[in-house]
Amino acid sequence: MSVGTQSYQLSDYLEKLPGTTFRKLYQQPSTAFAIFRRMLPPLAKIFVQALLYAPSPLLLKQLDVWVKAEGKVQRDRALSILRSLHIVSISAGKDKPQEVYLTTNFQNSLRLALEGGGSHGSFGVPSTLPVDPTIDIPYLDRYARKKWEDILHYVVNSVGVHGDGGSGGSGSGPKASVKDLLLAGRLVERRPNTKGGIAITQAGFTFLLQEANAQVWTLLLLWLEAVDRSSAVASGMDSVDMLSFLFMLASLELGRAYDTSALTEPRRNMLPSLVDFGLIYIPRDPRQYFPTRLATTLTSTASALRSVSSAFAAATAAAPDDGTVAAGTESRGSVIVETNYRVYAYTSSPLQIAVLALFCQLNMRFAGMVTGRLTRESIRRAIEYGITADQIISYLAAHAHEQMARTAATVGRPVLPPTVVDQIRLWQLENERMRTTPGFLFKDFDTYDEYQALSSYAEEIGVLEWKSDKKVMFFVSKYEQLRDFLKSRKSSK
Amino acid sequence: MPPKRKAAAATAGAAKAGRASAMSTPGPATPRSLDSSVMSEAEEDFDEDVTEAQKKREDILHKEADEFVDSWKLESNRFQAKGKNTHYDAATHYFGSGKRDFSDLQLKPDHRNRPLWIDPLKGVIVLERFNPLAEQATDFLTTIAEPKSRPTFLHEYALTTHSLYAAVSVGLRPRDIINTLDRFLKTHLPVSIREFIESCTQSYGKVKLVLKNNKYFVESVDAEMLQKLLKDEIIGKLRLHGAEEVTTSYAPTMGALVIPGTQNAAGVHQANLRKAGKAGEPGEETELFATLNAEEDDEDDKEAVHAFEIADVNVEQVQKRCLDLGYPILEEYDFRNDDVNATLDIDLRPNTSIRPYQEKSLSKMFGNGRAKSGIIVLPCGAGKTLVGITAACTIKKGIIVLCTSSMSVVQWRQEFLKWSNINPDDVAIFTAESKNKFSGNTGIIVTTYSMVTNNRERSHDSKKMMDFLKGREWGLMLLDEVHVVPAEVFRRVISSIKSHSKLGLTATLLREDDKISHLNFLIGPKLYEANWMELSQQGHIAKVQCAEVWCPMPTEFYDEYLRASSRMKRTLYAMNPTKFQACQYLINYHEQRGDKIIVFSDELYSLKQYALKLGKVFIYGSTGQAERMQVLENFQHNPNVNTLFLSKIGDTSLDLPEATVLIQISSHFGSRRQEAQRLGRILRAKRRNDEGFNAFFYSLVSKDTQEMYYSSKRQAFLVDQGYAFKVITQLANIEKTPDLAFATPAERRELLQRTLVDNEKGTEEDVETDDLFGKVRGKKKGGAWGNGVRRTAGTLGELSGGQDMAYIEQNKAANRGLTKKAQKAGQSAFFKKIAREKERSRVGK
Amino acid sequence: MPRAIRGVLIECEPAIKSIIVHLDSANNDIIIEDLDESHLVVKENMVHLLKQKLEDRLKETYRPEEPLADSE
Repeated sequence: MSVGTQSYQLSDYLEKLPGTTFRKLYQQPSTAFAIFRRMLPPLAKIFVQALLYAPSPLLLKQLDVWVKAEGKVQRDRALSILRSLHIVSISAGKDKPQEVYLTTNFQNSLRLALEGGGSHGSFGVPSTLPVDPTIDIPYLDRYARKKWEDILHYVVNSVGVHGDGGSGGSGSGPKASVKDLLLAGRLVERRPNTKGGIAITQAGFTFLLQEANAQVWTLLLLWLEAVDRSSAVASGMDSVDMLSFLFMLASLELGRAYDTSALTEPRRNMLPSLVDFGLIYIPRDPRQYFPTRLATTLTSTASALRSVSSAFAAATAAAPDDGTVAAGTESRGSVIVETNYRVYAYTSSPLQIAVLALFCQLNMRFAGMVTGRLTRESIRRAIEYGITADQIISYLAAHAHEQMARTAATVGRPVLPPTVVDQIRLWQLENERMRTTPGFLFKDFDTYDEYQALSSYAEEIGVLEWKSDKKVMFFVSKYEQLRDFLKSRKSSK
Repeated sequence: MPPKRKAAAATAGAAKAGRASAMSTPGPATPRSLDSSVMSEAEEDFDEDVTEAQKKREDILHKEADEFVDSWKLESNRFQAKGKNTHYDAATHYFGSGKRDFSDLQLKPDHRNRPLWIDPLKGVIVLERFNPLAEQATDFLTTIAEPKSRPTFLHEYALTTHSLYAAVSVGLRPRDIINTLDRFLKTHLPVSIREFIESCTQSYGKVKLVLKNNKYFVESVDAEMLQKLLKDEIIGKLRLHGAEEVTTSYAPTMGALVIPGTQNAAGVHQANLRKAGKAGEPGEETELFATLNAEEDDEDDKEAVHAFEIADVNVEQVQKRCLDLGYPILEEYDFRNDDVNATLDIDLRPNTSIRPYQEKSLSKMFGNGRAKSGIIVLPCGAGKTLVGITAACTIKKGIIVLCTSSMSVVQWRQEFLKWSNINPDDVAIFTAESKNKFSGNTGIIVTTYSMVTNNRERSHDSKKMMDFLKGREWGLMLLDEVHVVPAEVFRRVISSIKSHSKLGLTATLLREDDKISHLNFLIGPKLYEANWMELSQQGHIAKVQCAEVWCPMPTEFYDEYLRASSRMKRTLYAMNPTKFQACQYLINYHEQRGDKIIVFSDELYSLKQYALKLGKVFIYGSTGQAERMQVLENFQHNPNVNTLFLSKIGDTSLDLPEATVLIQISSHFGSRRQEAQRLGRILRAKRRNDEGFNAFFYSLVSKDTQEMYYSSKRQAFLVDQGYAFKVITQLANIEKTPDLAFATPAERRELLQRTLVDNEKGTEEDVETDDLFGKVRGKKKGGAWGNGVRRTAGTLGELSGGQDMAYIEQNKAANRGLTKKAQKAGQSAFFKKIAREKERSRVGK
Repeated sequence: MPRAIRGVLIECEPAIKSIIVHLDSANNDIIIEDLDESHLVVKENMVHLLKQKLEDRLKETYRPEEPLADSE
């Protein structure tokens, strides 16, 4: 399965896993911890904590003590998530009241994660070797950003208009394995007549317009699925273990070196790909590996994620005064949308500019800021590429400048000007004034019965597009089956 | 044959403003061209009887003005020749094919504290409104640049030759402009901009024309400049030979000048009181005086100026010649030292205080103690009139006020009486109906542009009046609605009437024909322009919710629309039943809220149809004068008359202070200023405050027709001022509207048929007079007619077309219901009458 | 025996249908069958042209873009 138009995220992936997989996953404390931290709403976390040290199952309704009177919806939701993640089991409750308890592996692992101890090493084994002092956090950030941008550039530049068909960014672009992954995940597809031979898909647009953390997961999940599909089992790759490893990486500390030899072989084999994605850095001495910020924030909360983009922004600053957003002073939002459709984005990144150019008409560029406009032309062009109005709107909302967020909060209005949002949708509609379906019009029936029979059959097999009992006509998208049906009907008379 | 013209009743000079008594019905109903281009409609009004020779001369002047303006473009090689390396990185090509990537401009280390960026290619300035220095930067920018876009977070301005001209004329020196600009910029000032500013300002503002002691002097702080002028063969000859070739004196300063109504005036008043109380104490007035802008404070107090004298008959020639040489002259009037012209006894009434932005605009005009000529731009409803009156009260010399219609003449006079203490006998009006003078040896005359530029054969009284106007020197000429009037008219006015200073007042400098440049050189530079959004946020003008309501057309109508001629298209998209229903819905909704509603249509047929069908009063060109006054009064004061339908007649200075809702059902082509001006009708509304909006503007457009195009073209200006236009595609529960019109297909078909038949012959002409009492102008420039207008057919139709007569009569009937008698008889009588008329219109066709 | 005619089904708002009917009225070479107020069957080889002509028609109703004032 490939990435659909909705962003396909970790929760979607996990939802599909069977209980046995979860049992395996939860053998690793870092996994239990990561899922606990990242995937659960607050009430669910409270439930887990209540159950964590319970020696025996609790009555289900005992959990209600933490639930507010009007909180029934949240309660049900929390329980449902806990169930689907195989964190809790709830007894059927036929003869006696329902009971709830944590699944064994999860419980054990989470306890270990919280208490420390154990020899699982699932939180990574730090390296005892000396660490090269030049490999500091800014260095790792720059490295990760470059790798990641190469990937994004590749995708962005596969949009026909950008011309250089995928060579993007500086340097050679991502490795072939990554490109293959993008193709397999249908973020880009082969298009023979374009420069570079590939073109972006709608899923690719969604990918581009997502924020960084979501993008990383999108790619990782594609990778996991590719492994599932392929016969890579032979090489010892197993998506469950891979996922566990990712959770482990998420728990590592940025800036620390970890011991490669402490890893199992399958996991060591994952390292090259992780390097390609920019999640891991391996120095000349391969006995150490460093997680980058992309890895350590895999399961972070939103506020921590903001630090990702500001760190990245700082990373691009070649010199301190090149005018880009300094780390920590701006939130990740940098785009201002005005009521008169003008757009101002505080950025120097050619990548972000390229993304904006997908649906804006750009105008002037200064050091650290670009100006442009949303116009009918620019939106329609985007629609023609396959971008939807909603994607554009979410992108603008997600990247809204702090000033916009602040103003909206103080006056209690939405962040983006409603007139602009409406207009983007209206422009999309303008493109969809008529739907066309090729096919066949059936008319001049001998009898009404004949019409009835055929149209019903057409409906059954799903090819009927339109009909009128009054006019005794219908339109179908395919006609071969109908022809056969007609023949058989006649012959059976 | 034109309808009879009623004799103009004579009125006494002190006619009570606003009373219907003395006014007559409009003159010959000569229809005007309807499908005129987007050029200012008023152009047609003023071209009657202009000689060919004069026209030729004006064309030449036009061209020359254009050329002059063009020679100063920032983008020309003159400033841009440095040859840039335009490719920086992968993103560069997105920006004007690389030409507008200015990322090579280095940011200053503290750029975050500075609010501006500037584009070295086109002079566009971007301002960060949330920057700590934004306020000061904004003040500075409004003085030196043209505002282009002023929404919420980032504003854009453009540095142009005109804006620099304006800057210099209010006293900014080139070096000040450059330094201040550099101070506010995030990057260093680009070379091209520096050079541009230097070279423009080098010639602007160097030369001033000053009328002192009734003599004209060409003045400059730069002695060399004067020498240069004197060496010019034309100007040199025109110098008046006197005792000295060139005199030298000290530059003027604001000094002891106080603008009435300002903070200072209040302060001075206090000081005077105190002073009166404590005799012998040194006055502290000097400290309280003059809130000059910092820029002007920089001027050395004791700067020397040099001047030579010229004869008054040669002024225009000298002005033109200076323009040719590249040194446009600024006009200033040293009224404090004018001993020759009689002083007018006028002052603002004691409790009148003017608002901060009004004060600011006036301080630009009087910044150095003299009166500068120029243009002040304030949104409608923001008190332009008071600004003009305060200027008059500052100068205190003979004033002549020029308006666009007789109605506004009456209103200006009213305002003078309201805000100032002038003796009513000293304010006279000069219109077709009333030709008065003031009794004393100086005073105020209020008249219309057409009255003074009309070359036609005049009546004896009129001629005498014109001689009077031409024969004296006026201290101040107030030019109202400067954006409406064509440049030629100004030339004529200015060449025939001598005034020491001129102040143009307008809500927008937007002209579809873009002849702002000419205005700059005819009247003066823009002295001040207010920010609409700011004014509305500060509560000085109403906060308006703007919406566009999309009304789909029923199929039969739409099919007809697709086939129709463009004239008929207009009628059809106005008569769209869905639109009608939307109008009905909105009227219901807002009447229930207690709003006063104005519905505009410049398509006469639909105006009448809508008004009649909904039983509302309306006014259009042919409405009799008495009736108009009555309807207006009722609309303002009668709680049962809450909706008024208005034709284009409403566009010209009709003062309607209480309207809070404006619905537009038909609008002609794409005039931005029209829409801006209509907004001005309701921008005065200040009461109410739910959701912060206290006024509403709806533009009803028929979906999928050309109307949508024109509608959004007009909104462009407002959108750039920061107004957001909502699009409403559905009105909730519209089906529940009581008595919803055209609710059945049969009714709609009938409407379509009737519309087609009625309009087929083009019998319904928009007989629009530009002003309520004055003459109607007929010809388009050059005598050509617009599409589909036949003069005779129009007038005939008006008179003899059976259906039209019926409408007129019915119109009178609806409006008649508003007579005092009807009112006394109780409101129900009024409604009964309306109902009867409605019945008649429904049945009697 | 019923007839099966090859064509393209168009589904749209009545206003659009009106425009298509109007466009067809010139040479009657677009519409095969008028089905109801929001459906038509048109000739396959005319679809592209139809889309273009429709776009042209609708263009005149679109909001004109203010040319980027600073790029004039």
